[in-house]
Amino acid sequence: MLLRPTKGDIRTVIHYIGKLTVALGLIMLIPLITALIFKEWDQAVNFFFSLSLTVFIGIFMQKVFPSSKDLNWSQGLAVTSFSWLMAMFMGAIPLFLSGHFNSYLDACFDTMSAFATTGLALIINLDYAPNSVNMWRHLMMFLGGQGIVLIGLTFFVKGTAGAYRMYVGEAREEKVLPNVIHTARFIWLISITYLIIGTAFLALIGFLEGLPIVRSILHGLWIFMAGFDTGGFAPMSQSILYYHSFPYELVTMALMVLGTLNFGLQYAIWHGKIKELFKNIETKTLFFSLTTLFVLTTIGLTRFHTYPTWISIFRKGFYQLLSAHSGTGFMTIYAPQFPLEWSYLALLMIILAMGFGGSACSTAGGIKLLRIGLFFKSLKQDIRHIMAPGSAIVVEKFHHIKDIILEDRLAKSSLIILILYLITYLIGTIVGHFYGYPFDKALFESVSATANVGLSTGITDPSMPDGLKITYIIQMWVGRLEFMSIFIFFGLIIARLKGAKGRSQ
Amino acid sequence: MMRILLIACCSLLVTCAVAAPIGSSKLINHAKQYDNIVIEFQGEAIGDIMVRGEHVWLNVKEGSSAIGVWAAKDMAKDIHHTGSYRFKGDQIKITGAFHRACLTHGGDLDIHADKIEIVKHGEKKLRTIYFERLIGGLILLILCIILIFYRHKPD
Repeated sequence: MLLRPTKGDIRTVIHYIGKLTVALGLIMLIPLITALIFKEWDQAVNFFFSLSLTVFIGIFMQKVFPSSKDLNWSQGLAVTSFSWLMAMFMGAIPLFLSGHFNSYLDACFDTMSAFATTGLALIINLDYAPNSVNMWRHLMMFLGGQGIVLIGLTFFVKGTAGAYRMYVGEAREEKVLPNVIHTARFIWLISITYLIIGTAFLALIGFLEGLPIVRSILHGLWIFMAGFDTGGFAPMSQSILYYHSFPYELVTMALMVLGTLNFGLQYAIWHGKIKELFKNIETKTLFFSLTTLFVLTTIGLTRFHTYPTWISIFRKGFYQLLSAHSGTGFMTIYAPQFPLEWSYLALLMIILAMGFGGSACSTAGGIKLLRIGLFFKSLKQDIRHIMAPGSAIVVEKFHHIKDIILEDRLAKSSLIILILYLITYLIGTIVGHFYGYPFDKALFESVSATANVGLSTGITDPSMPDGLKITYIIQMWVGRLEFMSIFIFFGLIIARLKGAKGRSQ
Repeated sequence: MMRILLIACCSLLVTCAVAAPIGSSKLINHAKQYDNIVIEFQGEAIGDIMVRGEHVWLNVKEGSSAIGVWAAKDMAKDIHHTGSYRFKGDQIKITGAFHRACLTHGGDLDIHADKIEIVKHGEKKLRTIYFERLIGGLILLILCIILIFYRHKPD
């Protein structure tokens, strides 16, 4: 039986969304300062207006709906899913005002793409975008990768139980540290440390490769944010191809790998447990999957004579594959080259890599390596069970930070999420196909949106139908939050309309 | 006489082959057709001119896509402005060999320029500031301050 949320429940949810909205508004100070530094006065006005409006709405929500209660499970998950929508609507305002979007819907598309670390973009004239707009696009990606709620957890939320419930809503059930707020702060510590090192590396290479010093630092910062957070936005329309630089590509490859690793694993490595890297089920799955898919991609590319040398197969084939697997979406080719020059086999490998995704509790999207690994482990367990004598007890273990026995409950929950991803991939494909796009291109784009990758065959374009834009926005949102908080979102709406009176738990 | 005619025909063919500039979309979508052929490509120089030894990389935008152009450093010296937030970039015409997957540049789709001509110099862009947004922002900021200090008295 559905219990109708009480006014108190709604008040608490709106109050917390208000807090996160204020946080988002205050973060707009960064692009505002950027606009002032670079004398982009028109953009400074846009960011000032957007900041004031966002903070005003956030404070208004808190004042009209006061609450001092901690969040219960459904409230925590609802806050997360609603906050992401709120962040999309608010974050899109300065983008729309910048004049680089045909419509507010297009700006919302790019905002959700940024927060969900997807990287699909509808921005027009990106090559002429001001520094402040690029700062905001990439900052949203960086914040979205960490988790919008994580920002609130770090600075605004006191109650740890409610905080954990919001944290789980962002598809992060793993706590790196026993306390969720400490976990949030550790994730920030890792990210900021890598940000400094990664930006410095990229800035140096950019400078040596011919970018002016200030541009090399800015591009380094933005490419880091998009690479480590497996987002895939770039300040220029050619993505990484713009730089025509092998060293730049190598550093971005390293960032993509770092971004796709589990924060729990990073914590272990930071504390000297290097062996964890070789024992962990996710890194083993990533290695096996990447190797197999690369061999098959290479076969596909060589049979079509797509690239003339091994180095170009590596720079184009492996780069796109790693970008797909890590869920980043950086490209070193043009989008139409996928359907025009790549064989079906190579394209299929990219689609599979996107679909599998990166690690759980990382910034990557997709089904996740842990679930893929568990799927094969449970398959192995079933086969062993069938082959063993009837009385035998078959126990399957896996290593993920610690040795864990594979229980039916865990295998079942992994399989449910895996199936939900497959269904979402399929729904997006059907919608894309319904709008007249070829099935293979529609499948590619749908998987890219749901798995928060950002690679494109060219469908994602300002001229694509609004219905498809909305479909991809929903897919990016659903894919990033991994279903559960979205179900709660719709569950609460239905319960409010139809549910029986009573107190929700 | 025949020889003169033949030479004239060949010259005409070569001229036709590089006569009309080809758009970026055509080059990307029909890359195999133009692979290793000398073409003319006209567009706006955007972003940065990246010096690599005695050569430069520049990206030239035509339509919705930009294509990388590899040129000798001297050829790019007359480019004054590249397209950015502040400037409309110089319109340039490149004559050079198009590569679908360049052998020397890791499989990049690029053009190796033999000649670069400046068609039109770029200029500074004018920006519009919307003062109503500034005023709106100020009003909202004042409302925020009022809300922060507002205390609702219980009945």
